[in-house]
Amino acid sequence: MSPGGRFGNSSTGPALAVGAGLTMIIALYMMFLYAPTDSVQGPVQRVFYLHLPMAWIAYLAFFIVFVASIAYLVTRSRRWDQLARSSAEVGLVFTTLVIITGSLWGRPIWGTFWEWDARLTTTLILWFIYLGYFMIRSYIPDQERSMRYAAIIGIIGFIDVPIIHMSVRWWRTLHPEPIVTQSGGPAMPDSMIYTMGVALLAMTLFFASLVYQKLLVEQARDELSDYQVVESDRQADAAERVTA
Amino acid sequence: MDNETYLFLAFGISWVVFAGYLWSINSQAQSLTDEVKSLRDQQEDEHQ
Repeated sequence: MSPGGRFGNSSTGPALAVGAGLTMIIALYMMFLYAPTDSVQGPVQRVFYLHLPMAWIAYLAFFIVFVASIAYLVTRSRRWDQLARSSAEVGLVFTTLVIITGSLWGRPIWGTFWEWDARLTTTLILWFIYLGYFMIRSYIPDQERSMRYAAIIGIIGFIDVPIIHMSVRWWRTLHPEPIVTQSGGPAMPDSMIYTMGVALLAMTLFFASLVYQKLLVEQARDELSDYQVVESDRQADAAERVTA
Repeated sequence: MDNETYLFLAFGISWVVFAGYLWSINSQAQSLTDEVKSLRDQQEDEHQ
């Protein structure tokens, strides 16, 4: 964090974007040309290299919201709120795509786009929790209060993340159990594991790049709104002096 | 639809959503830059 209370410096954004772009090109090459076609599911199994990293990012995004929300409530420093809202927005985009890609993968494999199965339902609940997070922010006019309430939702909402993760173990579900993190090692060939690793890295860098860009926008928006408040107070004082 | 169509739909939709989101962040940044510039110009006019 820079001394001015900002995260990163002028080279952080470009470095993250270049890193994300390069690893994404390698990941796409591996997804379509290096990894073998699954003998049971066929080509649609390659959605896995997109769906799983996105799900990991959704967890990561809401973990950042959780930590930044606690930090905001403890310190009342606005930069933590800026980080929480940036991560929540990007996380919401990724969660939406997890649901969409999962449905598109499920249709040819399960024969349905949607099933009220534990993993899918808890993921949808997470999506609604974070939609509520933004609704609270936009409906409460008092900025301090909206930041406080959003932080509380960000902390409570995170409880759903471990529930989503454990749902396939706790309940009988249509969604398969984890095959990468299962005990006894991943149940897939090395080429698929390497492809997944690179896809995970690429998606994480892409996420970091998006959060960083969004953070810069949120910081600029807050600075501008502070400036506008100061300016309108100054103009009101000047008008008062003229009338007096 | 066949198996491959779902694969390309999943990738296609994801990249369209990412491109749209990047465009939205970029236009937010652009509009903030414009607003800051107009405030600076306004301030400079007041000082002169």
